[in-house]
Amino acid sequence: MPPRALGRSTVAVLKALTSTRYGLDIMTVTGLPSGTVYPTLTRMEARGYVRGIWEPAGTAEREGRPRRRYYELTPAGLRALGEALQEMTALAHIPKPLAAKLR
Amino acid sequence: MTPRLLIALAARLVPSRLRSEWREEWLAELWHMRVGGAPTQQRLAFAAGSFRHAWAQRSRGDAVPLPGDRPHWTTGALADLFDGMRSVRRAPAFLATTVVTLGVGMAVNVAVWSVVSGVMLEPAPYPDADRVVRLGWDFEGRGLTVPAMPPYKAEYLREHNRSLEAVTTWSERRMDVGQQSGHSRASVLRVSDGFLSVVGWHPQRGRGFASEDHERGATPVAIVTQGFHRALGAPSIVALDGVDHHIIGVLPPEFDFAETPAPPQVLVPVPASNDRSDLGANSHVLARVRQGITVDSALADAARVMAQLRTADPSQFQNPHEQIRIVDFQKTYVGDSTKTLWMLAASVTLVWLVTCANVANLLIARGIARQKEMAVRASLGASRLRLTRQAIGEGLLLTGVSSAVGVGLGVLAVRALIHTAPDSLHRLTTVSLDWRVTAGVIAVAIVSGIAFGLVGAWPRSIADATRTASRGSSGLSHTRARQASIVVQTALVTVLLAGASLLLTSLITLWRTDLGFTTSGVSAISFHRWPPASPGLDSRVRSALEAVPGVNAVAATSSLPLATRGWNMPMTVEGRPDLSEGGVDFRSITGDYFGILGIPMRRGRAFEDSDVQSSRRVVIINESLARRYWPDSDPIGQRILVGAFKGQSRPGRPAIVHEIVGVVGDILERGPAQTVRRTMYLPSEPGVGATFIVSASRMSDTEVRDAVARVDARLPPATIESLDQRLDARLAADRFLVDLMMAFAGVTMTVTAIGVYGVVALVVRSRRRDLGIRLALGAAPAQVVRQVTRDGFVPVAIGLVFGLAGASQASAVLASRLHGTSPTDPAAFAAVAVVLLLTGAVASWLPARRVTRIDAVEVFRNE
Repeated sequence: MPPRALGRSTVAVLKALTSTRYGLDIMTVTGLPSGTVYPTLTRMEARGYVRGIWEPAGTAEREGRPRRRYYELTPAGLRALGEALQEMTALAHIPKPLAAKLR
Repeated sequence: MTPRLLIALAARLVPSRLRSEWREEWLAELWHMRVGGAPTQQRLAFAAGSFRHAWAQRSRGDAVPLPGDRPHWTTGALADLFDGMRSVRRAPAFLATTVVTLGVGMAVNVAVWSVVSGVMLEPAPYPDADRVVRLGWDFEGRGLTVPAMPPYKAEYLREHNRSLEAVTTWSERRMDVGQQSGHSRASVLRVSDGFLSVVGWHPQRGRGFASEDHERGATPVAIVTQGFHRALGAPSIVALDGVDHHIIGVLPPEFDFAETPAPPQVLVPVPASNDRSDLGANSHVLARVRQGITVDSALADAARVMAQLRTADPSQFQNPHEQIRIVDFQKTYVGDSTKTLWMLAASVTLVWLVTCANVANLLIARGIARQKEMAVRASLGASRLRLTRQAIGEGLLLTGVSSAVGVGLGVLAVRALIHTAPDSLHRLTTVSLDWRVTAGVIAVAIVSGIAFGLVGAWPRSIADATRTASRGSSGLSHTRARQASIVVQTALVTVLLAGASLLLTSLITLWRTDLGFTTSGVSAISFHRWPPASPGLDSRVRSALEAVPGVNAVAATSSLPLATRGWNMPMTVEGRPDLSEGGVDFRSITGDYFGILGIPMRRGRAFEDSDVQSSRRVVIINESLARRYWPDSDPIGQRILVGAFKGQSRPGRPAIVHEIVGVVGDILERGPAQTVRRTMYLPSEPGVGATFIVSASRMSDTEVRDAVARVDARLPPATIESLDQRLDARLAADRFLVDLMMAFAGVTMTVTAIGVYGVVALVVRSRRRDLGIRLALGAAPAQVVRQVTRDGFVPVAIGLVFGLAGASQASAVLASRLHGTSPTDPAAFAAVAVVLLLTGAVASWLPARRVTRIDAVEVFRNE
């Protein structure tokens, strides 16, 4: 069975992950609440579109703060995002660097 | 609730192997939020989202599920339930209406059942209460037991029984606390030796009563409750009616005494009465049965002792069949209220049924409205099971929120009930919200919630769904179901309304009853204590009252009119021992008693001042007494022995011959719900318990009290009541019941009317096409409106018929409370029918009018 089509909030999260970000950042950029962003990240991780990585423990220790988990798109995720954006003709402009990559 | 706590709670949902990393991630983000200056609200909102993430982790595990994998059934079930709850949240108007309806229904049930449980079902509050018995006396051997015994017999029983551990007598009195009269008053229990052993309560501090405390002339002592002791500032001496009592013991805070309407505050010891001449049932008797002996054996032993007394001293008995009996607590103390309370309980149950039927109605309506949505979901693969589970989730959310509202309102309702209920309701002050009752009501609500959910799911069943996925369903079968619900509701409402209507008619009859005497413009002034050894005090008080501005006339009497009890004495017609009675009501009066109360003098004359001092004793009797003993002759000039039964005086109290000088009209002495009692009036100076009847155009209470205080400072403050007030108080219980029943009927009727409105509105909406076509083809709008109105009105009419039939059966229960009204009073039932038909007609007609606004062209355009 083909994977379900990506919903708008999922696409927003993936779009935000064109740069590597922490969960909080994604919330700020997309404007979505934690109850939407994190489950989306989990789902996308399960599909292999997103990778979640702990930052090196040393970095955080040195700065006297707890270590955070950040997320980035995998190549599969990038492809899926492109396809989804092409389908959503009414969405906001495609960032130029990404559009260049797709061509 | 802190953000960290929320995340910790959510962590419980995450599978254990993922939990620590999951928690670390969330707490780290939270830390950065805090450091970044995010306000608490924002951090809480952030943390709240962790629940959804935790749930997602749970559903996912740490791998994409294989095609053969199925999630655990509870995961799916819970998810569906939560889905159902969410969808209800998106319809706030529906949620609000249902919650309010259910909440109110629950609240009244919780309140009334708490009162029923507290007043009627609570066991007596004595340790080992099974062994505590109340003894009473059956004067005629026919089973009519008075809940008290003659005092000498009680003492004799105490000395000669073999089966009772302890026997005690008690009486209750209100006494002034503190040296000056005008201080607060306390409820004082005057008890004989052995009281504490019988009830099983002992002082927490100090000691109980010793036998010496009960002897005549002993130093006055008292045992008090903890609350009372604290309120007085924990003294060692308390003055009761001006006499100092040493406080020798303080009872534990749990102390309770069930025989009085409210628990007493003070216990004082009194000597056991051994007045051999007192043959009236004037002592309340409590006894504790010995361990290992049954109550029946104890009663048999008591009967044996009484038989022994009869042989030893036959003068103590007037009737060969009189005997000792055990008194049933319920029947005696709660008595009249029992019927009232069960009636209320039945009524609120009806209210609950109406509420449920109405909510079912609403849910079906909602289900119909969402048919398309459900059909789409079904075609996308949602199974019937899932849809049903979602529906149950909706039902549970509804009942969950309603329970919260219902319990909250229930607490207020219980307080309101206690506040407005008549004082005669025994032990009402000890009632509070009963948690068992609340739990029961909530359990019923949960079951109902699941049932509601299933009802709501019914329109969404797959068969219907696939049919209605194509356009044009009229939802006809669902309208029928809703109409059936209206029939049920209307029938139930009819029963409630009929009951309320009958009680109201009865109350009006009571109000209008001619008592035979005047209550308006007449007041009663009474004193709860009369200074001892004060000859002539009566006339001095009378003169002082006559001088108060506004007062027209003053008379004195030995007891208040419109009281629940009165004095009575035996009487025999002179020379005819066969014409005799054991207890004729009597009053001692002075002044123009009959004139002030407007009691007509039928024959003879009223008392004159000379009658009081004269050696020739005179008496005035009422018509009932005259008719009974002199049906064909004139009683004037006849003589009776007052105080003699069958010509025999009581030992130590010789009967006195009185000549009848007048006959007055019958009055309903004790209130409109009672019958006329044979009465004799004697002229004399009332002693203890003097009451003055005053006829006044306008009278100031302060002036009255000042006038009395000037006569004798020892007199306690007077209680001043108009007879109209006393009449109101006598009718308070009936009024209370009517008020409540009318409230229930009104609420359920409104709820049902809204339901009717909804049904007709739905018909109009769902049959727009048909109706539009009809109008386009030239049908008269008024006719179409009438046809649609029928859809709402006919169920009401059908329900009314069933309801009236049911009500005529059910109202037999009310028979004992109805005065001057039969349980099937046609006028009352007709009124009910008119009200319901009118309401149903209006509720159907209003939405039906919308038919006239259907634009036929618009309808066709949408085809």
